[in-house]
Amino acid sequence: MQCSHAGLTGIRLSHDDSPSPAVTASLIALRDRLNSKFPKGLTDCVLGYRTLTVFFDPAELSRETLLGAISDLDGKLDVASNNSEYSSRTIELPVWYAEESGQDLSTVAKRSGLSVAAVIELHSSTAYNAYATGFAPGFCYLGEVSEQLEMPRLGTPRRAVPPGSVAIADRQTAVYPSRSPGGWHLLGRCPLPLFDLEQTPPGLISVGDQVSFKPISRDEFLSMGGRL
Amino acid sequence: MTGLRVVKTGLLATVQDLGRVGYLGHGITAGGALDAFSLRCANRLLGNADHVAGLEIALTGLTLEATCNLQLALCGASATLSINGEEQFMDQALWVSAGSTITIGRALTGTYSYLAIKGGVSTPQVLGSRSTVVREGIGGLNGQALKPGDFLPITGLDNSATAQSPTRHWQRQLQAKPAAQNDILRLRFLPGLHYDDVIQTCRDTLCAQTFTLSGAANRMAAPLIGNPVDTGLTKLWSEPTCLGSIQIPPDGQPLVLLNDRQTMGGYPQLGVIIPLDRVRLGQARPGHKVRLEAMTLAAAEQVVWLHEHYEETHLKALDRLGGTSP
Repeated sequence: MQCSHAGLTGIRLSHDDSPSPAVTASLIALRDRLNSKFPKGLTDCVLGYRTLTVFFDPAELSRETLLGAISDLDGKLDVASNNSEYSSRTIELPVWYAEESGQDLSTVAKRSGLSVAAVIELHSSTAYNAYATGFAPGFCYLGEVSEQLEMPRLGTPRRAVPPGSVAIADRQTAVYPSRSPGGWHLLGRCPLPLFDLEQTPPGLISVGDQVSFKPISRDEFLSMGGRL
Repeated sequence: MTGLRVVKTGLLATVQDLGRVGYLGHGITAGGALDAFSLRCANRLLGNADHVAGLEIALTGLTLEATCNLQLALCGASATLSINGEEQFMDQALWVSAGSTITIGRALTGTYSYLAIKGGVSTPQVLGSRSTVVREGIGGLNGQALKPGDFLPITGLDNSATAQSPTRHWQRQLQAKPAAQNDILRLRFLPGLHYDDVIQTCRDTLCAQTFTLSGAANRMAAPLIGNPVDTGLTKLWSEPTCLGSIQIPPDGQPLVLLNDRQTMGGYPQLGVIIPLDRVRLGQARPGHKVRLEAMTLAAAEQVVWLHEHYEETHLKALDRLGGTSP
């Protein structure tokens, strides 16, 4: 684990390994340990693909105390995660894959040399790890998408993609929780609300979750509350 | 209904308090007043608590109509302020009677002014804050910037109070002054994040030149224009951003991330600008010249703690003016 400053009230911890579900699990274990050790001192703990950035309130917690706790925990947590101290949730999201709901489906098929059906099959038969939340409230970066479906970002991002859009870029996939600009290739739409301020937590997906997609029909999409 | 009706808007006016804390992990940014000290000053002049929501007004002003007697104060970027056409000083508590028109004009220096109202704007709290983040559609009035016809409810008013002429004057020079346009603004930062991973020439280019603040600056970020900074880093894994981060996108033009930033970024971040200089940058006008200057942790802490002490001293002085009825 490497440590660097994230401003005067933040510390960035970077895992030595490449992103993987195990790296995410050990960062979550570290976050949870630190949160329970300093319930008042930490204001925000945010996970990246292979980083954990913790922000602290210097009136409650000194940088030295926090760094001391981090170095005490470092090294012990990979073992902890292997002992399944942290167990991830599994979430299955219904997706209506179609040209009508995912306008890049045929482009992706063409680029990858697969049929549209094979693209859907490949995308929906993989279990993805939720690596990070960001870009927009409730937007979760999921990976990894099959190598065959690796797509560059759009040259010019779209000004607006509909809420629920399921998209891919590089080897990542995600669902856009709300109407927002988007530079990823669209494959379909999920009818479920991904972000709801009335819920705790407000996002349907949390970092560390295992997410998979289940193809549904247009009728099912509509009956589950999806809007065209 | 007691409150303020929005008559005319300019570039951007939003409801802001000190922002949302604790939701970065859910992808929800902090938001909050870009110049929190000025909002706190305006609140203290009225005896309001620091976290009470007021209005942040960018550059071109705002016109409001009071639907009840109320008390207000304007701080921050120096702008003209008039009540029913009569010009008033900023930085003081003012009594305004029902039906009055409050006109905040164009800022003369600086960018953001802050209007506090006794009791505070009582739009709904979202995750512990009333701050508006337009990009997320969260906070304020339906997550949007103010527009003509909007109504801002005010609570905590003393309805028996009658309007009086201003009795309290405050010396403008005691406030943090916006940087003069022809000065070079120093942006002191604590190196960190990817600073040790970039090539040496990157660190040199970053601190050895004078940048110009772009006209595209907004509440999300202040873009700087200069000789491109090449980090030598290509693909990075997305990771959390910081308030005041110096982020280098592929075109090499640094972005200083501000209150409404996205919580996650995929570009290198080289360090975090100290709060005092970040606020000065937020208040600066497009075209302003800036220089980046790396600091050690010890030096940065000293500057920041000293400045916080300076701010607290001034806020305490304002407390003696605010809080009691004349």
